[in-house]
Amino acid sequence: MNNKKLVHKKSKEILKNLYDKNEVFNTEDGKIINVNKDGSLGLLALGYRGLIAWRKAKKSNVK
Amino acid sequence: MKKRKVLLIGWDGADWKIINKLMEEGIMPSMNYLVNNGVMGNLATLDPPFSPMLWTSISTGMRPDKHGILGFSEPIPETIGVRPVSSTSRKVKAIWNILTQKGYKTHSVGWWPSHPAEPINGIMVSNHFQKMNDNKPTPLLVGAVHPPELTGLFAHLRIHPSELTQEHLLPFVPKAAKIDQDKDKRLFHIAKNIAESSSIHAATTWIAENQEWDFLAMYLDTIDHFSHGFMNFHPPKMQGTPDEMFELYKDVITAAYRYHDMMLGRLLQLAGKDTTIILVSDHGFHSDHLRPKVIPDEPAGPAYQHRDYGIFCMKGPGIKKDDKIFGATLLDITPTLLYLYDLPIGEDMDGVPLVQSFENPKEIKTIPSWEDIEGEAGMLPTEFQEDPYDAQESLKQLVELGYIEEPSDDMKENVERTIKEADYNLSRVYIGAYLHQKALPILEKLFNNEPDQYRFAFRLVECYKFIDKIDKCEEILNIYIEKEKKNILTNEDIKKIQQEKMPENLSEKEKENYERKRSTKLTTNRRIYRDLLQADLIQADICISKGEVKKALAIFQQIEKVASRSRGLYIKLGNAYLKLREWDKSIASFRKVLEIDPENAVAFHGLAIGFLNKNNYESSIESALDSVNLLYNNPLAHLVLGEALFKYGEIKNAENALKVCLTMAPSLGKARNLLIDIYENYLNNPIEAQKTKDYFKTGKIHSNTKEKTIIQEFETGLNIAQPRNIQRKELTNPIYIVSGLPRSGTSLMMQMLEKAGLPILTDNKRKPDENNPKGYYEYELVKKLATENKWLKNSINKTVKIIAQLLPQLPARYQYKIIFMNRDIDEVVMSQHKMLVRNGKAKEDTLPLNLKISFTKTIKKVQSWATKNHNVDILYVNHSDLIQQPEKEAKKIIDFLGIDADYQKIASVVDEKLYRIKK
Repeated sequence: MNNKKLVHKKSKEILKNLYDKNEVFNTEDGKIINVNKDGSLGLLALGYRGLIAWRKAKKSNVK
Repeated sequence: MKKRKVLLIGWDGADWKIINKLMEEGIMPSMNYLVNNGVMGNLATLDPPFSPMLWTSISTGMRPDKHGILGFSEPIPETIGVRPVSSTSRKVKAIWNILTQKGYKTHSVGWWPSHPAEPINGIMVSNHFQKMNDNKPTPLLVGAVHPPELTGLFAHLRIHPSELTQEHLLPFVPKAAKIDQDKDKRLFHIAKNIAESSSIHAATTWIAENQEWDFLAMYLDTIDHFSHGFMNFHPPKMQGTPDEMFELYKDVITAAYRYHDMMLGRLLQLAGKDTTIILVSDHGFHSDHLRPKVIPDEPAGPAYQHRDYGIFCMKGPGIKKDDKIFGATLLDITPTLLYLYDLPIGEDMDGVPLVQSFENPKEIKTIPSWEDIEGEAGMLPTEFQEDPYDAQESLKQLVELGYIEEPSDDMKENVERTIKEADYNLSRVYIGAYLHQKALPILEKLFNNEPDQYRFAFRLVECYKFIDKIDKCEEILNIYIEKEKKNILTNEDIKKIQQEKMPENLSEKEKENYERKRSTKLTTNRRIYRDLLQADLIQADICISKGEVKKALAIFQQIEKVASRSRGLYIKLGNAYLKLREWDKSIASFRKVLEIDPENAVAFHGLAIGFLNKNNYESSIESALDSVNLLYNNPLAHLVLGEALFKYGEIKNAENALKVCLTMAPSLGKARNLLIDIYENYLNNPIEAQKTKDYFKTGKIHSNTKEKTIIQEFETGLNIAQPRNIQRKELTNPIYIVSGLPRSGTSLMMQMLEKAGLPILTDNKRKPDENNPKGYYEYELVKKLATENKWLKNSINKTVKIIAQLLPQLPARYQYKIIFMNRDIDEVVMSQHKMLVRNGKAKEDTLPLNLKISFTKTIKKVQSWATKNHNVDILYVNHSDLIQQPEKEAKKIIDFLGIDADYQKIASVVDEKLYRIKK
């Protein structure tokens, strides 16, 4: 059985772009926020960018 | 000019009581920024306070009877079954449809209910988007995203609770490690809430940053979910909460609000400073000593934890800064959005734009209805739209005809229960809209099926009370009490249940069942006991409606012995004391309410009335201000405020308060009279005085039913200031009154008016006798005028006889044309005495001459009252002139009444032979 999800090319393209981008997040006083596999509420509060960055961190950790 | 851009954020169940405290502590900086740079206020909820109904009212500006969402679930149109409420059941356009129709780029995320997503001019992510199976990530439901090609993207932006780590959970539960997660599932629920809110937030931020938008709406249900699950662990610790549980979960609510503030901060950043931000909640949530200890065992029982006021704040170009607004309801959000986009408001909408929020309010444009405006509105095709309740009826018929298989009992029961709850909810909506007549048949049916259901019984009584059918109220209540009393356990029964020994050799599961059964018996008994107390309260209310205030008081005092912490009881008690004019006792009762609930607008209102009557104007002003600050939409509180300010000498402020009062309730005659007096005699402003008087020419009695109800409850029996020295009046739709002292020729005048063709209001209960051979023309209910005046609403354009002493009891909301019979006081006293002698109630040789002083005072009082009130026009007719020159007087009467009648015919009624007592 093929479990692969069908994703429309438009969605695929957007997701690819999201994952290709290297995000850097700064605190209010300019310090870089370290994104690690554990994530944080702060990252989730940043919205989709924080979420993608966290998932990327998890993925690279697994690798 | 920049195009208007609006971000509408919905936080289900968010409450100012918590937010204010957290803002003070610096825990919600984004909220603090929003409040300091915009307007804030309470947002009054609707009854019933069930979220899908409320959020649909927010997005349509209409009550649920119009928008069609009537609960949490609905029957499935195409089969016998039940599903969560859906967008296809909404009968009217939501704001996103209207904006789509007008070409605005419009997006909506997670709004409840919005599944299946509608094809609007932008993206719609439905309310099922963030919901996933507890065990593993599940595919996104078909129809959850419009346009469908973005389904893959949004599916990816969802977060499953299992993804979260301790970094996410510890801020909510710092001692999470101590939880035995096999037994206590709360930590999982916290994770689920964080995951769901973060999913919605991720989707919203993607749209905000990557799409063109004029309008973006997003809805989060998580504050409500956290509150239902954890508010009882929020400090201060509730009695009965185990210490270890309190220690584990006391931070959850604060953390939930803090996390929402963090998300808000990000949205504010993405929206930019030129975007108008509106943040609302549909209801509040009790977070203090008012948290209910027991949740009623009824469908949607947890809604008892809700507070009546949600939150409203708005910031943006043209919006006032750091200001508070009053009187907003959730029905006003869609009209306010339309106003922001310079679009007309549908006249069929139940709300109004919150113009008080704007620095320079503009004119409000209206159209009859947005439903009639044709064009692509981004709604689902009509074949998708269906009334699930109608559909269920037709399905039932198909089953009966044998076309569809008979559903299982469980399914049938589910559908029946869903329909019953929807019916009950609809009846509550009607009651909330003061459409009691529409609620009646629904409640009758529900009550007849289940007469021991207190909620059906009590609401049915409420409806009958509203339409003055007091006999029916008593009948319903008695049926309920009789039924319910049979279910109550005796002390002996209770003791037996408590001492019952569990049978031996039971399995764990059997033991659990045994315990549950035993505890249910006791809980049900407590519930019945509580409901019967409520029935007593209603019984006391009925007594008040019948004018039996003292009897009501006795019932209240009985209840007080067993329920000494009841707000409802002390409000009723305070109002009863007001009716009895026992000001100190009423003040004491309302103070007790405030001890229990320091933010009770009704109690402050009652206090203001009590203080006013004790001439303590400063305290009255203070209490009235507290009342209107908490509940702005109460014209009577503004009236009391106006009166107190007037008496205190703050004339200009009194004018403002009365103007607000009349904006809400234009037919509140007492406010109008006082305002006219202020313009004429204190502010020397004849133009405004005339404008204020002109209302009487319109002939309107009540602008709406709600106004009528409020006024009817409070208007009489209170010490309302009366204005002075005013000339007479043009009245439309008056009640005609014949008045005078008893035995001054009032019955004769009634005969004349009957001859003139005016409809006469009499029940003929008092029969003609030797004293009045042609009849008394009396109406029994007049005698109860001081306590009961609802009958007056059916007396417009009719003629009724009311003795002079009772005239000042007439409520100011109606207009009166009065023919007042003046007769020599000595003749009146003699005639009355003669009548008493004839009836055997007085001796011939004891003429009560002291009555003369009293009667003279009565006449003066009436003259003064009639002059002061702009809703009263009076003609004084001299009894002896009438007897001597009946035709001349008849002409005067015809002229005064403005009727077309034959004066000779009217005059022919006068029979000089009956003028037996002459000085």
